[in-house]
Amino acid sequence: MKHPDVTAYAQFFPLSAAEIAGIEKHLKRCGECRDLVLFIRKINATLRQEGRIDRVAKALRTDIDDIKREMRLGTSIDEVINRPPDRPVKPTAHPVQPVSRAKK
Amino acid sequence: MAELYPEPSAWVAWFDYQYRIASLVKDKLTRKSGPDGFNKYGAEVVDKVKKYFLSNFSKCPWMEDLVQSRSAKVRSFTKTRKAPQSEAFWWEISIPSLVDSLVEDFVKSERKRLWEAHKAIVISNLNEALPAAVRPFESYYTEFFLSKFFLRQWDYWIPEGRETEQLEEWLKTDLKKVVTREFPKLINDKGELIDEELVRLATSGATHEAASVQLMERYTPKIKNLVAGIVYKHGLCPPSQDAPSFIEDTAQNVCLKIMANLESYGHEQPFEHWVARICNNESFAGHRDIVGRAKLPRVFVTWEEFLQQAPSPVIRNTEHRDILKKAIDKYIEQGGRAKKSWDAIRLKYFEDLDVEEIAVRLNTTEGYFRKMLSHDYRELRRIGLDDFGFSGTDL
Repeated sequence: MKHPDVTAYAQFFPLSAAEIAGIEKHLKRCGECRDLVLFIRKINATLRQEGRIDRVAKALRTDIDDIKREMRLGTSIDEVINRPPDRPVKPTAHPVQPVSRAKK
Repeated sequence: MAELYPEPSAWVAWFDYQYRIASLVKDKLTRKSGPDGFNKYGAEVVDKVKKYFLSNFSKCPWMEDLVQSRSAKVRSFTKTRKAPQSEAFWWEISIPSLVDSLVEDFVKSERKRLWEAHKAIVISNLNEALPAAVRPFESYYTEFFLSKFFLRQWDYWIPEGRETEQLEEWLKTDLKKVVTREFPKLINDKGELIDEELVRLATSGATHEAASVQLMERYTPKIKNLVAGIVYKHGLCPPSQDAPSFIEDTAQNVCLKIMANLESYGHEQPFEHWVARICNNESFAGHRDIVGRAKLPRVFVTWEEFLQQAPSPVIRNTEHRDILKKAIDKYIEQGGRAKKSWDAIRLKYFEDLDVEEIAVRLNTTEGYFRKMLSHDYRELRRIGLDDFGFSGTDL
């Protein structure tokens, strides 16, 4: 089976309707490519979330791990940003490793 | 040892030696073509030897060069260049070699002439007897049978020692033998050319494309059935694949492989067995290509589950994040391109930059950026699968 390039589709890059239809037709039959699309989307979504947290933490001058802990408890980034200054986030009990490499 | 001097002339030398030469011709020709052959051509051959002797004889009788090469003209020796050999040497070495070689040449050319004279009869009779399935390849088979059964036996038959009627009778008998013994071997019960013959034709040259087409037409359904049998028997269809599509793809690969390697078929085993072995190998290879060498079967998300996934499914499990981080570190260790491409991914998703800006920052083009990602996500997943045993579905 010939596998089309699904990376652009997985990243929601602009594609023509025909290209999307062709890829989706293939994805219906090919678990390998479905898996690749999921893989790409999961990595990208996780990276994007970490990037946001990083930027928010810098803007709020808060610890990244504290924000992550809040988010694990169900707080959204928007809520973290809009939180009143008198209610700082609580320190985290278990530090979490970021997916991206730490900047030197 | 007698003192040697040149003969006064070629004619005198010929008169001295003609009887001995005639006896040599008789001996050689009888051995080569039988007594009848000698009776038919003896005088003619002696005459040829005589002509050759006279035209190449010059003052010296030793004729050393004749021993080495008959085509070399006999050199004229002066007294100062007299050969040291005795007359016995010349007689035993030079003249017999000359006679041998002239008789050989004569017999060879006579056989060739006789073959040319009778070839047309053989060809027309062969063509008439060819089975219908063989007729599209008439010229190949005519040539094949002529060289294998007639031309090769022609010399053993000693045609120059036979009468024309005898020759024609022999050709007819031999033709009948070939037709009854060899022709049935070419065709199967249905009257079609057997597989091995089609292979022979297909590999004999570009002019027999029809044979390749016929072979593949015959084998395409067989290959599909064989592959399907192997795939179902060994459970080779990967979970991610649709079984009919996997079988179809594998059968197609088998067909391509057969056509590409047809010349390597050595005719030691039936062609069908050779094909079956390729089907087996390709089915397992197809399975390995998709599933890898992992012993555990992989589980894939179904299309319905895939559609239900969030467009941006963040990995929440911290263990999975840690594993992913290790896989990324391992990927970056490859250096160079891998590092650059990870920087690109990071700039795009972590820093949330536009593609244009990333291209400028990395000193590359947007096209290359997309191409880079296309390769590197696959590589990253390969590391995840091979080294950490997780896939996109597992994360």
